[in-house]
Amino acid sequence: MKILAIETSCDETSVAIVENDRVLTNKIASQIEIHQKWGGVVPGIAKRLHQENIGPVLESALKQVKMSVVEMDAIAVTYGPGLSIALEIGVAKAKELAQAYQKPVVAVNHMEGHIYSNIAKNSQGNPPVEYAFPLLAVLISGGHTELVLMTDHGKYQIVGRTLDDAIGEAFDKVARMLELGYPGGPMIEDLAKVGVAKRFPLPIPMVKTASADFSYSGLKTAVLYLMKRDILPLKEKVSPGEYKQMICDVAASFQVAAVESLIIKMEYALKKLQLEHNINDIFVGGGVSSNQYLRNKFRGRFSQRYRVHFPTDKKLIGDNAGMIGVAAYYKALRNEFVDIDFLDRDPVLSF
Amino acid sequence: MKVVSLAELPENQVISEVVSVLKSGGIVVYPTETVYGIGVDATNLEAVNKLLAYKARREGKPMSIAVVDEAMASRYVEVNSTAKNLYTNFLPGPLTVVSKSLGQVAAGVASESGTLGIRIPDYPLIRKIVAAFGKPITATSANASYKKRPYTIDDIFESISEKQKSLIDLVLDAGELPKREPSTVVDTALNQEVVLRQGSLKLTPVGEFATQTPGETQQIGYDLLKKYVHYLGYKSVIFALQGDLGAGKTEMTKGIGRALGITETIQSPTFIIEREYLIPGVEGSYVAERKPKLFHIDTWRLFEQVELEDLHFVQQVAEGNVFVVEWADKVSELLERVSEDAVIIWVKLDYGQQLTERKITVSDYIL
Repeated sequence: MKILAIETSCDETSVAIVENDRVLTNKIASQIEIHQKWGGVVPGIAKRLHQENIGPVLESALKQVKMSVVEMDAIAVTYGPGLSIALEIGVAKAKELAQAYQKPVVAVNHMEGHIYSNIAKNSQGNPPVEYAFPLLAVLISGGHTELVLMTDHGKYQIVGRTLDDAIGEAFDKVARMLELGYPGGPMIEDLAKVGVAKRFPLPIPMVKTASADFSYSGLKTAVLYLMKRDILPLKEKVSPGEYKQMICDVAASFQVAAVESLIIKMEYALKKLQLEHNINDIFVGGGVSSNQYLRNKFRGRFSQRYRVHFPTDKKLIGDNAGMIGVAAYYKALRNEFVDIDFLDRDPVLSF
Repeated sequence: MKVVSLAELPENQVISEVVSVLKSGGIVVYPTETVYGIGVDATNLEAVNKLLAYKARREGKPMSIAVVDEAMASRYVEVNSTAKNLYTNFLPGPLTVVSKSLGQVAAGVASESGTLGIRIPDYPLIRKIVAAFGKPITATSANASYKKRPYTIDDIFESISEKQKSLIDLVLDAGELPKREPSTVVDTALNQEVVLRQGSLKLTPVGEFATQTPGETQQIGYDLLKKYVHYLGYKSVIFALQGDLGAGKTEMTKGIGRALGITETIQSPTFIIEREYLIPGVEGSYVAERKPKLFHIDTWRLFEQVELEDLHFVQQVAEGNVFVVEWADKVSELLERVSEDAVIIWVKLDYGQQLTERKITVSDYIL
């Protein structure tokens, strides 16, 4: 089954063509280079650039696989969650193609796409991913921090979520407190490599709460207090080299606490879920899954007992239509097509 | 095109040769601590256009410029405290610091939104060249757009056409560079300290509160909503929150949401700018059948208030709807425009003497 997938939930305009679970092409026009890594939204520019890019990106995807829309079995599109005025562009394009070529439409939840980024294959069918339901999906990005129990294709249950800030957002906001600019993820990851986490220990958020929910707001405030109390007063008193080292130490300490909180809540959720389910696989999706420290920690803590999966390709980490196409394939197998007359974007869509 | 091997030519000769090429609007390929870069005089429009033709298909991506130090950078961009911190502690190094452009470079170098990336390469020769030239040069990787990262001169030549090749005037060959990632790009323009202003709205002081815990801050939000809820029958109620990171803006919003009977978790809207929640029915409100909503808006990442208009903000200001606008000072003029249809409650959250203490100052505008 060939599916043409469209994704415009944020600031990447992406069109992919998939054949079953193989991504034949995955074209992404990134709007703003500087906001690329973890996604970012500048609404006015986003809307206009989606409008400008969607046509050329579609063309270049079709050209690369030497196919036309006529050959497609379905059109897939992200309908939420995301920025409403950005989602609209993709939904409108999907409707237009569906009408012009008389194709059925699959509407895909963006977060579902991030889950399927773990099993998407390239055009050669690689890598083959072994997994079984039920599984735990960990969705971590600038806008999301969710633990999802997936009992089958299309069957999701949120078992833990952030009560305030998303993890990627916490990286951004802490970077701001450390005066490191935006986006914060890559910078903090980088500085943390030479930082000593133990020098300024931070509390692990929600560690004693009997739930799988997260709170990154408290950790953010803890960093704020640490900066105000111990770091900033020394800024003019120590050498730039020493100050830099302190910032690196705070970055390391924050990264440790942020990731440790994820791990503790994953362990909590798994322990609970294992009472009723036999879980052997962990899927990790979303922009923050590019963090190498996090990957190593996850593998270290879980790989003895679980198969720990990450997006199978760099391009599948951020927002992209390839993962949407693969999610759509499984929906199409279940005949989950939508009536395009009633299809609308849903910016606050949840599972 | 001339290829100069750095191992064979004395440094001062290299510098003078590069400077003369740059002066005549030429294109130079040069090594950095990351990948090979390509440079022209960043203030020369003709030279920049030639470079854009070389890069091909950039889809409006901004370039960066290489400078010698912070003092030179400050002639081309606004260096705010975040940028200053980065210059002092992390540069020279593989970092591109994006700031608001002062408009001193040729068109096509800065981004559409008026920002410009600054590099101070950790490669002394390049800093010496820029110093001798006296003007910034473009600092973009030397490959054509979307092609392989250039660590050798051959990497570049393999990825470009003869026509592109003919645009290059001088190549500084330093052999194979260590395979380092391209520079990390960070944007400091978003962290511009906002000028604290509440526009020309004449606000009436309501009260000052001190809280010791997040829970107490939440309660203030709850109480405030209850105080103004009766306006919802014929107006919008807008809470304009002003306060730094960690001051308790989201806590206050949680209190407002709770007072409205919203049971969903109020999560931070930073990433998608705006989150909306259906208000299940407000005591004392006559508009429950209109399905009123709570809009939680975070303007932190907006450059211009016109972008909030793109989110249909003005149209949504109607009776029964409640707004919480974080970093409201950025959109104060927009709030003025809707002030006839809304009760505006300006809430300022400051840190108190103690770490956990918050001072909350409330004033309102009711027409």
